[in-house]
Amino acid sequence: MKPILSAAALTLLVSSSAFAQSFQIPDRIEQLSPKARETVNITLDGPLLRLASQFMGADEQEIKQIVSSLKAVHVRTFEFDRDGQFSEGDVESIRAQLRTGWSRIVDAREEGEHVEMYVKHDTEQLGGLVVIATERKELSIVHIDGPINLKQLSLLGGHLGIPSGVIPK
Amino acid sequence: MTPQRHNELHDALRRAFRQVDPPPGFAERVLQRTSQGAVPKSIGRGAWLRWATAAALAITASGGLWYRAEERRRTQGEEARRQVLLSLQITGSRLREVQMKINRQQESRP
Repeated sequence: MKPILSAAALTLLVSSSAFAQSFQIPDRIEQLSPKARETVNITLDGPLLRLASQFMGADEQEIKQIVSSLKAVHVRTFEFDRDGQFSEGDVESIRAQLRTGWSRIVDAREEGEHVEMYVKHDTEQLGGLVVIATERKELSIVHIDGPINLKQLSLLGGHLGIPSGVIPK
Repeated sequence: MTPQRHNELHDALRRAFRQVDPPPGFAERVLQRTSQGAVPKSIGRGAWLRWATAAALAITASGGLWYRAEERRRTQGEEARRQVLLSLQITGSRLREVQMKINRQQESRP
């Protein structure tokens, strides 16, 4: 009986830990869309990312290499006409998911702007990236799920305006 | 083979291949059936045409379906590629903001 109970406890522990580390865009964030003047809503899962990588051009091979190993990409950006269309509680609902298994590596605030960057630690490499950027009238969330080779990502500097300096090598 | 056995075999063959007249009315019946078109035409020609038509239709239909599926896949792939590039551009612009903020903070330090 004891081995069964131990196995069950271990399974529960592992699954709850995996659940804690998975990230989803909270519903209350999705519900901000009607209030926004402009929105970008991108959800790409593994099969779509692999399909996208097949259509990358000859000059996009570095992007192809990064994208083909990813599990999912979620992007939400909201631009509002006036202040106060989203609350600190909305942003907190995102942060709450990033308390276990994630590390905040950037936290930059300046004149009503706040940018945070979180990375997920897997066994050997980074397993994900979340960027939360807030301004008075703007909220952006980027979630890249899957193994990220930051060296490769930093090489994209110049291609897509990704600065190499901010990404740790 | 003994001469007697040879003769018996010879007689048996002669009996088997003896000339026999057709039954009465045989020629008339043959001519009548021919005039009625009862003699089968080239066997299987119609069936062959039907099968060929069916095969051609099946190939055309599957080709059309494959082309449509491939078109859909290509459209999805191009759209997914566009979204990936947009995602990375948004990520890049947010990270650029971070870098600018960090640079400004570092510059403002004494």
